[in-house]
This record gives sequence, structure tokens and C-alpha cells, in this order.
Amino acid sequence: MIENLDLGMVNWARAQFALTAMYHWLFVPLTLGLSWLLAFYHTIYVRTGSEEWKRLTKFWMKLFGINFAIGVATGIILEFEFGTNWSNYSWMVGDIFGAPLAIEGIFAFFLEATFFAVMFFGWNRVSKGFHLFSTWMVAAGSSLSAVWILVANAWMQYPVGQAFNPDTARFEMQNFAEVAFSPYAVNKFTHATSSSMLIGAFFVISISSWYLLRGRHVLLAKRSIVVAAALGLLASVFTVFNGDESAYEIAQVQPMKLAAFEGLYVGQKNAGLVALGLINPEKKVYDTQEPFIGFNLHIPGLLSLMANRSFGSFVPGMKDLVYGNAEHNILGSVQKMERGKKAVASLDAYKQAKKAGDASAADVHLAALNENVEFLGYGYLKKPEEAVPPVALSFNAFHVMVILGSLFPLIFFGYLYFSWKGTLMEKKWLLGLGTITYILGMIATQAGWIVAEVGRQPWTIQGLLPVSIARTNLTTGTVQTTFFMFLTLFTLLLIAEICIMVKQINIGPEEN
Amino acid sequence: MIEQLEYTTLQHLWWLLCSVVGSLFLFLTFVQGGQSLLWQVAKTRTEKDLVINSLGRKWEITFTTLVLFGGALFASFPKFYSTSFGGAYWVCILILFTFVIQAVMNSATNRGTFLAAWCTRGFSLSTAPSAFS
Repeated sequence: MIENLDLGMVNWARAQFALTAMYHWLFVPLTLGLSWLLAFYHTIYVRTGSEEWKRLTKFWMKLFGINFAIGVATGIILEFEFGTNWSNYSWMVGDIFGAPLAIEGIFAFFLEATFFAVMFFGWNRVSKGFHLFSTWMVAAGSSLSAVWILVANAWMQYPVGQAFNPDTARFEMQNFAEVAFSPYAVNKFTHATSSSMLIGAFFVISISSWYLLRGRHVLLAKRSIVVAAALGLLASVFTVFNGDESAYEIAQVQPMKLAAFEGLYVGQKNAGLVALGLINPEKKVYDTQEPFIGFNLHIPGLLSLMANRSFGSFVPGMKDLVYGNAEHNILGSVQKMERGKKAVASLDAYKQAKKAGDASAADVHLAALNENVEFLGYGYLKKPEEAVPPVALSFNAFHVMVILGSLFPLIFFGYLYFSWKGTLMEKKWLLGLGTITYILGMIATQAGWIVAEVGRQPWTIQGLLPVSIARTNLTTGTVQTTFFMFLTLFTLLLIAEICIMVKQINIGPEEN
Repeated sequence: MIEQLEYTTLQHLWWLLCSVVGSLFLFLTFVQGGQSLLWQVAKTRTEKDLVINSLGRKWEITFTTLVLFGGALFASFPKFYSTSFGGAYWVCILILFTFVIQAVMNSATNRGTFLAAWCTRGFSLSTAPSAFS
């Protein structure tokens, strides 16, 4: 079965997943971030009792509601795509990957859906205290669902708390706490939620800046900006710090991914971080082309510092990770493939011995399998070079994310500073920049998704399961057809959302 | 307490849970399917709004039930999940497709709701075969 692979189908299935996930991620960060801002606005209203703050809260809540529906609608496609396009994967890891997904459904969604209705329709219908509580619960619920889905995703990047069962050829959960509290998952969650908060803040800032430039709803816009910029400044500084923490984590568990981010082909001590440079997209790991086109600028030692918390340390490059480096004791995918092939052979021999009822031979093969089981996935690769992810895409996405991410705290600071001085209205340049910050934030967060998931290729589960054998046995045409179906549907949804949003923003908050 | 349960007992419990959620989902689908009576029972705009608001705007509950159904099957019966959704590919895709259109149309505009009613009709039809298979 595995031998007659139709690579076209795998790539279309990957494209379809990327399409769904990226469209989903157009709506979700806003839901995650804006829900916390709503909670703050609502709290200020309840504490001050001011009608102005109520109007403000209701306005942002209306925009939140438009976005919320489309976010959940695209999310459901993702959940079922595991079953439709990646059924081999679903079968092999259902115990581990399915568990957080089910928990998300049981707790987070019900929490979110229930309190969303109370929050949205609860004005003058429920008590003020309970209404405020509901708004906070919507924020908590949406972050809670982010926790579980990111726990599931972190497990694919860093599979902990599991063991391979040779009888069923499946990965089974050994320790739930290890999966749920994996350091990778903690980093993913903090990075994704804090960056989403800054997206929510940018959304408010973009619309408010536009109002200020037009001289409309001035008081409302200024008030919205102060709260949003304060939350945004905290969130963006936090995002930078835990982004660094994530990079450290990746260096430990996915060194290949980090090398691809930085276009680092040959490992070095005191490795530099690329500040400026154009990556050569034609370069392959086995040829002698230059990794960068023309001028490039490295900040010496910074990559070593990021990867190992020490300036002089050695950071392995893609060549070291493919062909091995004995000096630094690094196994390359060449060596891992050898051991992986042994593991695959032992697994086959074990199955045959089991079938023949030869218990002693089965034990021997099982022991041989267990020696190499951690490299099982490498046994299914065809060439060692396959272990390298798409370098140019990872590199570009990573640098777009990092550059924009470092700029964001400055923008928030600017807004806070001029609000505090009371001269925000005169700073047209800042307001002009402010109107596009939401788009900049979106670019950064989408780049973040590419960094995390394209950088993981060719693996579905890092080191254990390549994408090519995770798939369902479907024809290319089938997946192609549904790809275009979803592309059309999602694009229509996006256009619809933008039209409704723009209309609502033009109408503005309702007058008293 | 849970640790002492037999594996098969746990599976029975999960199967029970999945069937309850699954049948709830089916039930809600037919509640939403009531929207397709739009042109039969409702003549005026107010009557049409009544039909939509009483039957159509239940999609959040249907949606959450479907998510839970999928997640629970994925976690407890991965083989069933992977073979049924990968195997009945087009049925599954059709359910999702019509579901998403419906969800969005319902929440988007009032004009959209009539289109949503059509989608619901397609949605009920696409669910029916999976219920009996």
C-alpha cells in the first residue's frame, strides 16, 4: 500500500489543510484577542455605569459577533479533514491527538457557545453582574479551546508521553500529563494567545484611527485606543519574549526546523542571526551554491545565543543534520534512515513471527525493533535530503514574523505615549500607520503559522510519521475537487465578512 | 474510580455517549430542516422571520454537537472515525459544505436567511443517507 503512493494527492491534501487552517486563522486570532478586550471594556462600563462605555462595548461586541460565526464555521472543516484526508494519521494517533480535541469540544466549545449567547443577547435581560461574568467566560472559553488545540499541535511537533504499539502499529498514550504540560505546548499556547491579543488590539486601533482621521466618534475612538494599546503593549512585549523561548525549544527538539528558518546549511560555532539577506531558493542541501543571493548581514553569535543560551555554542546546520557530524556527535538523517529501515524490517519480521505463532522469534524481533523505534519514521523516507523542509518559505516567513513582531511594541508604545500627552489627534502619520496595523498583524500571524507548520515538513509527527503515509487512500482528483470547493466557499465567506464589517464600521456605534 | 473500569466497559460507555450525541445531532438537523417549510407555511415577511428565528437560528447548538460528536469519535474510536469519514468522503464533505454556508448565511444578513433555508434543505438531504448507512 505504502509503495504505490500518489504524491500528487498528498500535496493536494496538504494544500487543502493549509488553505483551511490559514483561512481559519484569519478569523480566530481576532476572536481570541478581541474577547479579552471586550471583557475589559465591559468591566469599565459596569464599574463606571457610564452610557458612553456601554455604547463602546456594544459596538465592539457587534463586530466580534460577525467575526465569531465565520471562525467557528471554518474550524469545523479542520476537525473533519483529519478523518477525510488523513485517515491513516487519525487511526494511528487517535488516542493521543483525539483526546485534547474531544476535551476541547466538551468543555471549551460548550462554555464559549453558551456564554456567547448570554453576552450577545443579555443586555437588560440578565443581571449586570451575570452579564459581565458571561463576557469574561467567553474570553476564557476561547482561550481554553486554544489551549487544547495547541496541546494537540505541540504533540505533533514534539511527541511526548507516548509509546509505539507494534501489534496495532499505533502510537498510544502513556502519560496524559506529559502531553498536556509538554513545554512545547506551553510555549505554543502563550505565543499564540499573546500574539492574538495584539491582533485584537490592532483591530481596535485600526478602526479607531480611521475614525479619528475622519473626525468621527472621537471620544469613543480615543477611549478604545487607550485600553487596546495598553493591552497590546503588554501582549506584544510578552510575544517577543516567549517567541525567543519557542526558538530555544525548537533548537532542542527540531534542530532542522531552526536551521531552515535561518538558512543555515553548514553548522557553526558563534552562529549569526540573519538581519538582512535574500535566501537563494534554488540551493539544495547537497550542492555548493551560495545560500544567499548578494549582500547579507549576520549578527554574530545571536543564533547560538538563541538556540543554546550561550554565544560560543555550536548550532547544527542542515548539512550536519542530513549527513551527520561526528565531531559534534550529531546523527544525520542518513544514519537515522539506516536505523529506521532496520526498525521497519524488524516490525515486519515481528508481525510475521506473530502470525506464524513463533513467540520466541517474535520476542527477538521486538527487542530489535525497540532499539531503533525512535527512528521508525525515517525508515519511510526515500532519500535523506527529504528530511529538509522547504527552506526559502520557512526563512522568509520566519523573518517577516520576527521583523514585524519587533516593530509592534513600538507602535503600541507610540499610541500610549501620545494618548497620555493628549496629542494623538495631531499625529496624522501615526494614525495613518495605525489604520493598516491590523493588516500587518495578520501578515505576521499568518507567517507564524507557516513557520510552525511548513517548518515541520516532511513530518506529520516529528521524526515518527512522514506526511506521505499519514494520508487517506483517495485519488488526486477527489482532493483537488474539494480543494477548489473550499477555496471558493472560504473566499466568498471572507468577502462577505469584509463587506458586513465595513458596512457596520461605516454605520458606527449606535447613537443614544 | 475510572482506573478500575475495564477497557471494554469504558468502550461501552463511550459508545453510549457517542450515540447520544450522534442522535442529538441528527435530531437537531431535522429541527433545522424545518426551515425548508419556509415557502409552504409562511406567507408574509413576519411569518417567514418566525420560521427562520425559531428553527434556523439553532445552528450553534447543532454545530457544537457535531464538533463534540467528531471529537469524541476521534478520541474513543479512532478506527471508526478514520474509516467512516475517509470512506464516506463525499457525504462528509457535503455535510460540512452545506453546514458552513448555512451557518454563515444565518448569522450574516436577513436576506441571506432565504438562501440558508435552501442550504438547510440540501443539508438535511445530505445527512439522511449517512443516518441510515
